[in-house]
Amino acid sequence: MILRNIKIDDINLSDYTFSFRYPIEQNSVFYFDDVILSFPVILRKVVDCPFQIISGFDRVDQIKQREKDEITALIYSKEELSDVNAFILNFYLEKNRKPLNSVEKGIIIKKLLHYGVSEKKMIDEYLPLLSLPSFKGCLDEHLIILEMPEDIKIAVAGEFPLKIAVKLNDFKNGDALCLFHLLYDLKPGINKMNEIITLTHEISQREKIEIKNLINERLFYNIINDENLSNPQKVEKIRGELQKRRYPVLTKTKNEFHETLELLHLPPSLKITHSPYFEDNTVKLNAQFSSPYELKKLGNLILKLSEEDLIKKLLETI
Amino acid sequence: MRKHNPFIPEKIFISKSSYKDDIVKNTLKRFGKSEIIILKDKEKPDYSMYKPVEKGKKWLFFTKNTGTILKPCPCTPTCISCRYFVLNPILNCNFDCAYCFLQLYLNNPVITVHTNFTDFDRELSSLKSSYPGKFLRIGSGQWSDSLSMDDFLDISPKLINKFKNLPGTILELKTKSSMVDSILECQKPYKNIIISFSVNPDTIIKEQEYKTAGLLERIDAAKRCQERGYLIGLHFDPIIHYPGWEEDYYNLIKYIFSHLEKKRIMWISLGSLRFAQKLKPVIQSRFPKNPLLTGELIPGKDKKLRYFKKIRISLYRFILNQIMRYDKDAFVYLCMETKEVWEKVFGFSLKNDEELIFRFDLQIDKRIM
Repeated sequence: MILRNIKIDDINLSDYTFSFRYPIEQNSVFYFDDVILSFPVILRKVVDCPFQIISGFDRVDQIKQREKDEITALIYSKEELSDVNAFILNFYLEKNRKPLNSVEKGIIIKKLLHYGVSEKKMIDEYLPLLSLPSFKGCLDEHLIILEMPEDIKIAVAGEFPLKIAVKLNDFKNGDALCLFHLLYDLKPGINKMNEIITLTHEISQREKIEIKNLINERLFYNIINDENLSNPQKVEKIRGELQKRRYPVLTKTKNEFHETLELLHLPPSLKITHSPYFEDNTVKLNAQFSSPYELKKLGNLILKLSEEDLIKKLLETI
Repeated sequence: MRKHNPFIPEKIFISKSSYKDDIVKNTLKRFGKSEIIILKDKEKPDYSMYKPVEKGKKWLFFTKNTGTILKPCPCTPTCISCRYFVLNPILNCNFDCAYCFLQLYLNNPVITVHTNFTDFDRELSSLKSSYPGKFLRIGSGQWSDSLSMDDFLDISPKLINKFKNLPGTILELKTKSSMVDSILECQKPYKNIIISFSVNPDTIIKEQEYKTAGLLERIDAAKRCQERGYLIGLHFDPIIHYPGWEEDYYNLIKYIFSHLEKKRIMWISLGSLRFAQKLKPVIQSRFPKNPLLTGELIPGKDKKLRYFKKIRISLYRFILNQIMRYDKDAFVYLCMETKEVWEKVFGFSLKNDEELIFRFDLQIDKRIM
């Protein structure tokens, strides 16, 4: 290993062998010239080839942009630093420099496996280094994301939840992208994202239609493009419509119950409710009063209600 | 006709203290080519490097049961219970039904055979003294299929031998196989032994009940049991709601009653699809294209996912009506259902478990006493 100044032209700027930066184009840390001088980049000499960058992609970029033609570098030979050790060296330096996003973690895992690190060592030793839990499922999730369309990868490198992206991987590309754009644009919380995915998936499976065709139906299209609705309002409307479609008998029962209830014109102090999912054959009557007179009035009303055909009808709906 | 897939264990694990048991010797004779691993007592097969459910169904583990052998059927809270008791000679099953609760339930997923499975005399007499004058209904089909591995384990004949002529006790062997030869070879049929078959339309069997025998095979096996003199049971469980279910269940019931003798059917249970919510992701991941989960499943009172009540009622009513067309005296009951649903299906309300148990006792009296 030696320390010397190297011409920028002698460095292969398109060799990303030891890089795991994602996306490649991202805002890098600004380095003053003095810092670059005292914090040399690390290069590797390969016979008859330009230098490979092991660590310091940002600094080389910035020196080039400042139209300087030389940079101070620590230079290793291939014999001194194998591929795997060069990658691990960069990994250690970078992980302490900036937080890694999920795609970068995936790239690191993939490259280390490629360099021959065993799956067991990866799970037991490297996942904790990447601040990830030590189990195979986690390793697999980070590899899955690398195979996904670029739009989704970029979103995951940002704030889009990895777990949701991995779930989308179970769908055909067109369906996954359609769902992704819906969720990415509306930005619901992760639980609601999960719910929308499950509902659309189950509806598409039952009705044997593609998810993208379901989401592109006029009903959903109109909600998504309604300028009078905020994102949370759109999410709620979409969830509601999907629920209705996914649970038609339950929805019909709910509608019949509430329509009949409305016809009873109950005062606000008297409420009739059904059990969760109508599992009971009974309904609950809740009365609120603040004086014996009000109670008597409600009592009379309840007596009158008991003779109404609508009460029978209400009970028949459940 | 579709016979169930024969079971060939990939590995056989044996606890040291079970090694000399006959059931182990017979199995080793049969599967000499399988890898055999002897474990210390209390040691369990290590499946940590594998997908537990998949691997568990390929491995066989012989050990002694150090816990309770005869247990009350867990049923489910909030439902009418029939006070059934379960034996656990085997834990887990070589069949692979998509909806099976065992995918979630067992701590040790390896098919485990308890070599001391007949050592329950003390437990049985204690149970009998707890319920004097009542029939005890005991089954071995809760934690595994009762008959699917009988070709080498031969557990059922041993259980029959143990239960035969035991007063006040009924043994029910429940299966999705057609493997009844070992039962038919028993010296004679016994009144208190019921051979029960889970039934479903063949489309459901093919789609959901992997590795099991086809419907025609099962009904043929049931017929042979009846002809040998046994009473049989039929379990429509789980009933699945899907487009075309009415026609399929109509044809199923028609087929059953055109092939089986109704007077030799002891009981018929109806139970619709239900499972713990945690099983859903397991089914999704193991059977991603399976349409089972697209039904209108909602969390019931016991938090298990089950069809919306109106759907359950329509399933039960339809099947009950079809059964009644062929046999007005059939003894039909609902498995793991709420009293609200009982009331809507049968038109009468069961106040508590005791009422159902009383009805079972009457039926047993009527059929076998």
